[in-house]
Amino acid sequence: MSVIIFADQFQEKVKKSALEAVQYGSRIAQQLGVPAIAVAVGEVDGAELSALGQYGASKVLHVADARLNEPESGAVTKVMAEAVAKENGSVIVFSHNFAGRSIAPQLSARLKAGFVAGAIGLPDTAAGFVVKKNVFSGKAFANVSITTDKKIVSVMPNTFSVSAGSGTANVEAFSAGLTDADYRIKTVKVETVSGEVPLTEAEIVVSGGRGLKGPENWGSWKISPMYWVRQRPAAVPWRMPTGARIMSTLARPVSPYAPTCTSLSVSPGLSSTWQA
Amino acid sequence: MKILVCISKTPDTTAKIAFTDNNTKFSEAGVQFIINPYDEWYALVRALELKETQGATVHLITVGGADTEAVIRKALALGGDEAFRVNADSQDSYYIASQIAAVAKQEQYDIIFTGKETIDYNGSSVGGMVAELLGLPFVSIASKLDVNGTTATLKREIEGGEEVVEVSLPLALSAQKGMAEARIPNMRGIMAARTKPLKVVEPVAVDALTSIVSFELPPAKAGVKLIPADQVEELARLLHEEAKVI
Repeated sequence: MSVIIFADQFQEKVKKSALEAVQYGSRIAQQLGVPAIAVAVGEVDGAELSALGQYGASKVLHVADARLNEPESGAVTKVMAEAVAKENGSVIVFSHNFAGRSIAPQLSARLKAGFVAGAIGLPDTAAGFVVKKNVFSGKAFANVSITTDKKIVSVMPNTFSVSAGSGTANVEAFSAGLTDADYRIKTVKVETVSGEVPLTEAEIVVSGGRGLKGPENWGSWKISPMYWVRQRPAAVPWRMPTGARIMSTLARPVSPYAPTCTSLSVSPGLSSTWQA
Repeated sequence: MKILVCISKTPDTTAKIAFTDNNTKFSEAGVQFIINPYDEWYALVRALELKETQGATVHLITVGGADTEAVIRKALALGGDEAFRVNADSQDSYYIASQIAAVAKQEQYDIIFTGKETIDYNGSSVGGMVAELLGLPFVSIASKLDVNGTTATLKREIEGGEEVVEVSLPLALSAQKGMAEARIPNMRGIMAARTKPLKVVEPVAVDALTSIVSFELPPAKAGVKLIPADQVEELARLLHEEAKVI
């Protein structure tokens, strides 16, 4: 038996959310006394894959097919199914990110494996396999039991802190027998934002409060590099340019409403630029 | 073109969330139910736009008891042509997807829409499972869909940007914000919905793969400390010394 973890990448780097999934999966593996094996697809830096050992993976199965740089969900579903078969995977872990939301349900139906989407806690294996998740859009929690032999869990991003230990993972080339017929979704164009930090990769997320209204008032906060969230009822994220230094005092809001800050944790290099 | 839109009955967004039966069941007392917003505003409306521009036929499907018929009628009032209700109740995504796939297999749809997720159980699973059970390509969390003949072009968000993809029909997709603008049914649609076909079908035999053992409510929130807008330094001090978040 083993725990199989999908470690997806973005621009040849393993995503932060994927590192969380690898560490989460390795903790399940420790609970069950089985190895944790990561699966990566597309062109990924070899050192990045070896470094997954620091997050608990003992081995990485790598399908180095450039067509999977933007993971085609059907093809990756096949890759994961083949990996599960090869390594006798009993628990399969994804991040509940864009890729995980697409691939995990398909894999669940293919393997007839019970699936819990958006886990916020490690499974309770004392009596079965029970996973906690948010329901009713975060207003409550549900404890969900997976009753099948094979189990799939997707981990809600930014729920677990990631800490790199020591160790390297053995990277093994993997062929899942993909054919052209497996690539049914053709990527025509990818538009990525450069010079800004995607929300899901941000170390710090700052919510400015409704009073700051829009980007025209962000100039009074000069914080880099982080992702700025304007607190509107719909909580739609906004991006702000990086690179500016921090002012000597925190910003004075331009409205009567005091700003709020949420989910702050210091990112590397940021503490040196704070001037309280 | 034949389109299937999967819709779900969910509690209104302002509903008070409470549980009964020793926290194993959602309490429906005093709760208003609506069509899941992602299903209605984005999936269904886009399907109706394709009906208006390309002459598609739009079918609806719900897995649920007779209490779901009110939301089905609303979806028909918006413009759906025909509806199926699978007479079963389950919280397991695979069970629900299997029921939908059983109906869809007989009807041979070109496009199967779901919403990004339901606002009650937040599973984001049914669309992908239906696609797999029917052997269809699946595009998740799509914010745009155009159809030209037998080719669909979709836009979806990815980490750090957006991706445009092309897929040959038939396909399944989950729709999110940006796919369409919400509509309100007009009186003519409401009257017509009363006589549109609503077929009740019995479920196929499928085992659920998961079950909800219990629900929990979050702990009561602690008191809020309000800081006047002109005391930013005090705010910074409190965030640093008390909340310890900076």
